[in-house]
Amino acid sequence: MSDVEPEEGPGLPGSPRATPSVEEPATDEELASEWADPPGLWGHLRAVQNDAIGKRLLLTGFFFLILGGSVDSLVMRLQLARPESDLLSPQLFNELFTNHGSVTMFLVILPIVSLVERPEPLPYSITEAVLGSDKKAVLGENTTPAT
Amino acid sequence: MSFAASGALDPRGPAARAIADLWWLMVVLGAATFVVFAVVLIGGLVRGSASAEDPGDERPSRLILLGGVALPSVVLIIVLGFTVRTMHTIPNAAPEGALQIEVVGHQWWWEIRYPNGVISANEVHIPAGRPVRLELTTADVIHSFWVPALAGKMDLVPGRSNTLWIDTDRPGVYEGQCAEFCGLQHAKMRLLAVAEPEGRFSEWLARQRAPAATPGSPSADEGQQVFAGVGCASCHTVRGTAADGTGGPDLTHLASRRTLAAATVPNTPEHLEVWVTDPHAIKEGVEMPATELDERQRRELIEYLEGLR
Repeated sequence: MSDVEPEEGPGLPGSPRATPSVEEPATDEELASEWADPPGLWGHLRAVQNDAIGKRLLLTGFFFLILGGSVDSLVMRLQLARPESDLLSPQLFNELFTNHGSVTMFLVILPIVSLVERPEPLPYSITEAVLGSDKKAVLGENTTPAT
Repeated sequence: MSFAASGALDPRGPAARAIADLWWLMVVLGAATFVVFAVVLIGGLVRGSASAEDPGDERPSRLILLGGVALPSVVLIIVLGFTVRTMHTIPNAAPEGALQIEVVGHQWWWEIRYPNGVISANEVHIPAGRPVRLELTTADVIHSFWVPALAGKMDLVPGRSNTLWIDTDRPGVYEGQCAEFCGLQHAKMRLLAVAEPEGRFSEWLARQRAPAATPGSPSADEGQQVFAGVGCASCHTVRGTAADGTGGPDLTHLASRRTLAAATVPNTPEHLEVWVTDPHAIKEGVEMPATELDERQRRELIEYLEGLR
């Protein structure tokens, strides 16, 4: 592994796919076709690649943010905008805020936060900014990736 | 509808005042932090393109350490210090001469019990200038007692009794509200806290102690028969009569109260008539059933209830 350039390694920025890859081109191609997502919408829905699933989670989260987060809260705020307003019945209002809580928690925050869980260390720019330009000098040997 | 002074930022008691002071401190600190960050951000945007060519500049890291670590630490330590001090300011032990009142939460009204046996509803009368210990329990689900002008919130939890101290030096009528979602009509589970000078409070308590007034006219007397006949008495108590139900509020001195349906509407004969015949028109979903009464029964019943002073 040590002679592989990190930019071409699996899962790092610049690699075409987060699929397993090997050095022999023939095996690599076979693996790529084996692991590739099927084409089209149906294929997209059956995707197993991290990046495709990640995008889908993001879009799903955003969709429910609009639906459960914004529409629910907008309607509730309209009800609360005037005292004694009868825009919504008490039952519907209670249903909306219950729905708002569950949808925001499980269909917005959960999928979007799950995207943030990444095995890589913090993006270089952040560590750089906090600790100064020479990261290794500050953190010592421990930052060297285990091989 | 609004009956009275309310609002945590218009405090009328020491506990509410301490909480309001803490709130103002947090607003000022939050606003100051916001302004500092806005200035730095705008400054960075304006100068951004000029210094972009000088990546060796060490200033950004110092700025992030100051703004991201030092500033929040200082602000939060100040807030923590004042929060702990506020918690100590609010009484949690028995001051001298305290009065104890029990408050029982129901879906969706408040039962108020005084030490001399008086049971009332939705209106906590307290003597101004004397601390009051509220024993908070619930008959069903979790509620929360909150009179913002007097004190913070305290939950009413099934199976246990919580304590809240309220204290005001200013006579007045203060609005309260259930502050823990407790079902369909949570929003209309309100109450009034009525603070009166000591003398007037004692008079009020003595009047409430008396049994219900006897009907003052033949038609009010008929009204009492209606009350017993159509089933009101199976849920409501009117002390001094055969009515001894406990499911709903005690009505012994109903007409002396300012509001109906847990401070939802003012206590007028018109509202009382709607409430008695079709309570769901005022407060959809309440336990009290609609009652079918003919014109005469209705008039007599209202006359009887209006006599319960």
